[in-house]
Amino acid sequence: MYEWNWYGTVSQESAQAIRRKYGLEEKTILDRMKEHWIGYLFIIPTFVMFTLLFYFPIARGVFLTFTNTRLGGSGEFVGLENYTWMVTNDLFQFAFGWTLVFVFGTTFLQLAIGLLAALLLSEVVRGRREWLSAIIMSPYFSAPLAGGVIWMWFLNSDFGMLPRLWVDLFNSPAPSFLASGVWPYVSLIVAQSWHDYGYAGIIYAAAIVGIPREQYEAAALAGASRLRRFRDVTLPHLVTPTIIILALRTAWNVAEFAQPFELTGGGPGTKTMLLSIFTYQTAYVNLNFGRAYTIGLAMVAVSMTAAIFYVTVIQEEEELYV
Amino acid sequence: MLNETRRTKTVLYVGLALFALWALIPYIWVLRTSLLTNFAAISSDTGYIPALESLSLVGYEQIWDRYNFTTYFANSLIVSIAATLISLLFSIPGAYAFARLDFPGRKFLFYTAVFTIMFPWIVITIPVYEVFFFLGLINTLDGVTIAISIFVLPQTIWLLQGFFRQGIPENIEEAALIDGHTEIGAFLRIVLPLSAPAVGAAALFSFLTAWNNFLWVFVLTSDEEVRTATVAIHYILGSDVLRQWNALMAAVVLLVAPPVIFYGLSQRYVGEGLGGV
Repeated sequence: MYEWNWYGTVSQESAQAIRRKYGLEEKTILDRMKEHWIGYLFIIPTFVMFTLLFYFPIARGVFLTFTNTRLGGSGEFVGLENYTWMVTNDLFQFAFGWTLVFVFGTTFLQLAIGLLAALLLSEVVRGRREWLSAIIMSPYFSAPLAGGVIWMWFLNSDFGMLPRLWVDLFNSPAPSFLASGVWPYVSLIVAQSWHDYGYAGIIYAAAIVGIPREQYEAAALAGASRLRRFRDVTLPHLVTPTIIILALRTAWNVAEFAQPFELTGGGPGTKTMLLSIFTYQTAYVNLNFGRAYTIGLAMVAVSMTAAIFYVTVIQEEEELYV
Repeated sequence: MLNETRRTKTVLYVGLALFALWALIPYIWVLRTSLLTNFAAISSDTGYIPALESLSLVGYEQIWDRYNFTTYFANSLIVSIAATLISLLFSIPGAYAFARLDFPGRKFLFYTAVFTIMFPWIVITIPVYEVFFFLGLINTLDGVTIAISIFVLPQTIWLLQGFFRQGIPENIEEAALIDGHTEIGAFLRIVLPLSAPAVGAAALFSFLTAWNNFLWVFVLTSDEEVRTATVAIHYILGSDVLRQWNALMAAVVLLVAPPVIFYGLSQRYVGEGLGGV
């Protein structure tokens, strides 16, 4: 099989034959593309739509931030004016800080409440667990806008349930939950946590159900207490879900628009202005697209910090699976 | 779990009851309002739980005459069903390619798809509005449907690729290839039928997202004929006309009920897919 030449080494030709035989042929990227054309066939429709509605708009938006484009017209190049306007704007500075508080508060509460719900549900027998979790996780599936309306009605000073309950219990006039003092901030955070803790709860519940029972039995046989079993068996299985929920919920709480928009709309006045509502107002009330996208980029910066974190973690996960 | 005592059981059920209360109480207030007459709904003489004889369905009758909710709910339904079909058509092959087929650029495309999941929608509406304005899609149901179906894509792809990757053993396709199926044949005849539950979950998810969506419809439309129920409720609340709280809350109940009931019926499939893990 091997052809030896005068110098005692394998000749060029047969070396190639060996490579071919063992599949060691070096392929160019073009060869691989030809071989895997079906992958492209499957992905092209999605890719075209993504280009039209994600890649191009995102790039176009970044371009917009350097112009004074308004709706329906083409703007002029203004350099960094939008950025200097943004960082020196009081309302932006306030909205940025309040958005961070809102995002940290809601993300933390959603995680904690969701975990507690999942832990309680995991103790219930199968069958009963399903319909209990359908009730407990239901807020997550209601429209965010409806969530805003529901809480607006629940907290309404004239006809709402909570102010009425407050009067009946404490015998003193209720504060205006959507206007006075720190109450609007508390209301927004609580309402948002109510709407979305179900997401954390569902993912945690799936993770807890997936933990092998034998691990608990072994720990119990070794004399581990209930708390100890939670710490040594349950908790390690919850690390990855926690990171995923943390990253996704951070990004989505930054992006949240419908519910806070319906509940307070940034008001009274601009008291509870979030970046998402501020972006909306700049774009569609003041019709200043350039400035609005600049504010949007500040939101993107916050949620992308979370995204990068997330991608790093799932990359490690993928290596674990493979 | 193990060694349950009566005391821990009581604690457990008290905890669950508190949770159910927390989840349901804001709903209950809306439901109560929707079941009263307009006068009783805002009267402070009506109890927290109103007397049985004071309940009435008049609110549910009025939403159809006083407001144009027949159109709004029909629009919601049209947009949701169309968006579900379109997003499935795109995401099934896309997700399969990400999960199984190894082609140059796969990783890059995949991570951009993950990136888009986390991109704030309100930001991207601005340049997309320009694109749609250019294409003449503003103020049409077509435009709304296209926007919603493409913007749920990253999530449905993510949900489905997780299932293709972990739910279907790779040697099933290898066996199909050895049996002489082409790659497309193996996908259509073997993989797709096995994925029915995951496809169902993705369909449900797209439907719910479209039904619940407010932002895209709000931004891309202004005419009443193309309004969906979410946006209609927003406008009615914002208008100065005398509000009929019972009718309005009846509309909210009808808006919230379908997704919540759907979820209750199919949560087994939804839970696994949501996180993509």
